[in-house]
Amino acid sequence: MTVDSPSSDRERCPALQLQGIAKRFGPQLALDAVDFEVGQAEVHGLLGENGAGKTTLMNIASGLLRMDEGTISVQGQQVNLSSPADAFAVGIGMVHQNYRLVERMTVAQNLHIGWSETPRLASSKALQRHAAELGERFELAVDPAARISDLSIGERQRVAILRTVARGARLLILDEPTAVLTPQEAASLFKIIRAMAADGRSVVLISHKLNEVMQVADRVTVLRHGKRIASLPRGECDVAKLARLMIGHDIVPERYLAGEPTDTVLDVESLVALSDDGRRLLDNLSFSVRRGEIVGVAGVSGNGQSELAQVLTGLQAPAEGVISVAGADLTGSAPVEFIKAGVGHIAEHHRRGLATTETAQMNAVIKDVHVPPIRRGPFLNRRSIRTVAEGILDAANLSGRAGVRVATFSGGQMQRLMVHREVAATSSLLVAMYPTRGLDVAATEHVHDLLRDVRARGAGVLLVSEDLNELLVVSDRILVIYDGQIVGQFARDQVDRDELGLLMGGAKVGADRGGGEAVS
Amino acid sequence: MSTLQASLAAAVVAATPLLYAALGEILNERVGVIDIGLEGIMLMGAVGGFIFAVKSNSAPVALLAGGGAGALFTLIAFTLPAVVMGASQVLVGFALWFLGIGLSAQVGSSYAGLPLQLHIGVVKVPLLHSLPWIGPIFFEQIWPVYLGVAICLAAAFVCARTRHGLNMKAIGDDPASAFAAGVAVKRWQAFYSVLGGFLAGIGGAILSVAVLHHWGDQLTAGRGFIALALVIFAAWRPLSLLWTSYLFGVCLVLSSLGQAQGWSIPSPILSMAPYLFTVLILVLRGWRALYSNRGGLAPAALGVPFIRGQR
Repeated sequence: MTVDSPSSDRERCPALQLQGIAKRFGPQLALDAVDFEVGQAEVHGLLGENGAGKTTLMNIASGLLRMDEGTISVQGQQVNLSSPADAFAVGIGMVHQNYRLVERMTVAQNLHIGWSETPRLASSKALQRHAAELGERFELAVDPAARISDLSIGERQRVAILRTVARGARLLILDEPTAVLTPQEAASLFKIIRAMAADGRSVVLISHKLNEVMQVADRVTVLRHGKRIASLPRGECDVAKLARLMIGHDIVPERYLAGEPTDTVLDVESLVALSDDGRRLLDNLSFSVRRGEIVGVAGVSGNGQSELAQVLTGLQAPAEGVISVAGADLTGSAPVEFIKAGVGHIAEHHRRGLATTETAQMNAVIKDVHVPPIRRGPFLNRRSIRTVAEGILDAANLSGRAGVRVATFSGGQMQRLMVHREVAATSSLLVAMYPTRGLDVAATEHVHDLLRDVRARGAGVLLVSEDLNELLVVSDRILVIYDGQIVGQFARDQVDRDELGLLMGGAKVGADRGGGEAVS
Repeated sequence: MSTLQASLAAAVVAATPLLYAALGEILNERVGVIDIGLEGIMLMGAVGGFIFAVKSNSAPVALLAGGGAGALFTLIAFTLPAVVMGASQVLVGFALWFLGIGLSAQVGSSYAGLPLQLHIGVVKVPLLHSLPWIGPIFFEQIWPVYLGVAICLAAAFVCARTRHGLNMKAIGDDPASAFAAGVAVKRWQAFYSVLGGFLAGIGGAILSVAVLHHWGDQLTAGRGFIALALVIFAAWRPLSLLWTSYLFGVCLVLSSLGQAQGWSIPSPILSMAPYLFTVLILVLRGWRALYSNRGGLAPAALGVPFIRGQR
C-alpha cells in the first residue's frame, strides 16, 4: 500500500474502512453490519462495554478472524485479509490484550517470529543485536535476552508494541492497552500513541475507559451489543455523553466506604521467595491483614506481586518466613490447605484460574471437589455440583451457560466466573490479583462491591492492583511494593498520591504513614 | 576387521533407518505435530523401496521410492485428517500403524522372501577411514549412512540458526501466537508431517534394502516405536540424534554380536535389548525436564491441533 500519495488523496481516503461487517459465533451475532472508519494519522477510540464486539471487529481488521459479511478497504483499496500476515503486508498491526507472545522464547526471538525481514540466517546473538537496535530506534527498549515468561505485564506490552511498529505498521490497533498499566506508564503510552500519530500512523485504541479515550483520541466510535451506536469527533464528546452512549445510562462516581477491622487474619513475617536463578523476588516482607479490612497493594507489575500471591495461596513455598492464616501456620502448605482455610485467590489472569477446556459448571465448583457436598465418598455428587454452580453462575450473570466450555467465553465472562467463584470460596482471606483487569465501568463497580461484601462478611482482602483510582476507592490501607519489598504504608486518610506514585517507581521516600502494626 | 569391529560397523548401518525416521519425527514434532504411526510409514517405505530395488536394481531409486511411498501414505492417511482437518493426532497415528501393516503386506505379498542382490556404493571417507580401529567402523560405510548424517547436520543448523527454525519453534510452542505474528502455522505443520513421512519412508527402504536385504510382513518389528522413543532421548535435537541412534543401533546388533562372541546370555534376551533400553531411557530422561512448562525440552503445544480463532 502506498503511503506517499499526495496529501489531498490521503485526506480523502481513510486509512482503514470497514463496511457492513457481520460476524457470528455459533448462534450468537457478535457484530451486526458494523461500519468503521479510521482517518489518516488519526487516533481513534473504539469504545464499548465488555462483549460489545470491539475486539472481534479489530481481530477481523487484523486478519486473525474471518468476517461473515462486509468489506475491508485499506488506504482506499479493497483488501482480502485472510491471515495476520496479510494484514501486516498492508500495514495493519494489532497488539492483543494477551500480547500473543511465545512465553518460552526470548524477547529477541519473539520480535522476529514470522517476519519477512528477519535475516534468513538468524543466530540468537544476531537476533539480540537487532532487537536491541529496534528497541533503541523506537524508544521501547526491553532486555532482548530475557524470556517473556520472566517479564512483567508492562514489559510484555512494550515488546508487543515494538514488534508491531518495527514491522512497519501504518495502522496500529491496541486492545485495552492501559488495563494493566500504572498512571505513569499509561501516560507514557499515550505519549507513544501521540508520537505515532504525529509520525503519520493511525492508531485504534480499544477501550472502555472514558477518560483515557477523551484524553488521547481524535475521534471516538461507540459500539454496543455488536452495533455501531455513534462515531464522533472529540470536540463533540464529553465523558457523560460517551457513558450514556456506551452503557445506555449515566454513571455515578464511586465513593470510598470504610470497613471495620477487627483481629488479624493474615500475618506474614520476613517472607522471602527466590526465582529459579536465586534472585530474591520477595525480600523480607512483613505485613498483616485484619478481618473486615481491605489492604491494597500498589506497585508496578513485576515487583513481586505474582510471587506474593503464589506464596499466600500455597502455589509456591517461600524460601524463608512465616505465613499464618487465622492463627494457623500454613508456611509451605499445599494449595489445598489454603483452600480449606478459606483463602480465595482471584488469579492474575483468568487463564491461570480457570480450566478453559471444562464447562462453566465444573469451573464453578472445581476447588470444592475434595469436600462434601460436591464430593460424595470417592464420587462427585452431580446434583450438588449443579446447585452450587447455579448459585455462583447466577451471581456472575452467567446462568444458562453452565454446560458451555469456558474456552468459548469472552475475557470478561471468564473474569466474572473466576471472581464470583473465589468470592464464594472466601471465608478468611481473599487474595485478589487485578480483579477488575479488562472489565468495564459497571462490571468494575460490581467487583468492588463484591470485595466490600467479603470484608463485611468478616474476611480480610488483599487487593493487588496497578490502578491507583481503584486502590483509593476500595482500600482501607495501602502498601507499596517495589523490588520485592514493602517500601511504604499508608492509612487510608493519609494517602499522598504523588508520594505513592514515587514509591511505586522506586524513589526513596521516608514514608510510613501509620497503617500496619502501628494502627492495628 | 575383528568380529567386534564388524558388529559395531553393522550397528552403524542398523541405526540408519532409525536415524531417518526419528529425524523426520523430530521435525514434525518441533512444529507441534506428533505422528505415532511411524511404524506403519516405515513399513510402507520398506515395501515400496524393496519393490523398486528389485525392479530397477538401483539404490537411489529404491530409497526415493520408499520415501515417496512414506510421504504419500502420510499425506493421505495422516496429514489430511489430523493436520488439515484437526482430528486427534494420536488416534490417527494409531490407525496409521495398522493401515501400514495391512497395506504393506498386501502390496508386498509377491515379493516376500525374494532374494535381493543390490549393490550400494561404499564410501571411504578420506583420511578418517584410516584411523586405527574406529576407521573401518564409521568411515567405510554405504552412502545412505552419510546422507543421513548430512541431513541431520542440515536440520540441526536450520533449527538452531535460521529464521525458519525460529518460526518452527514458535509454532511448536504456541501456534496461536505464532499465527498472530504472521507464521503460516497449518502450512508448515502439513509440510513437516509429510516430510516426516518421507524420511520415515526412506528409513524403511534402507531397512529392507540395505540392512535386512529382504521383505516380509511386519519387517520393521517395532523400529517405528523405537524411533519415537529416540526423539525423546535426543530431546528433539537433531544433533543429539547422531549418537543416540547409534546407541540403539548397537542394541539392535547385540544378539548377533553375542552369538559371534560366544556370550552365555541367550540370544532372545539380547534381542529384547533395544526395547528394554527404550523403556530405560524414557525413565532416565525424567518427565519433568522434558515436559515442564518453563524450561521443558518438548514443544509446549505438542499434539494440540491448531484451530484458528479459538480463544
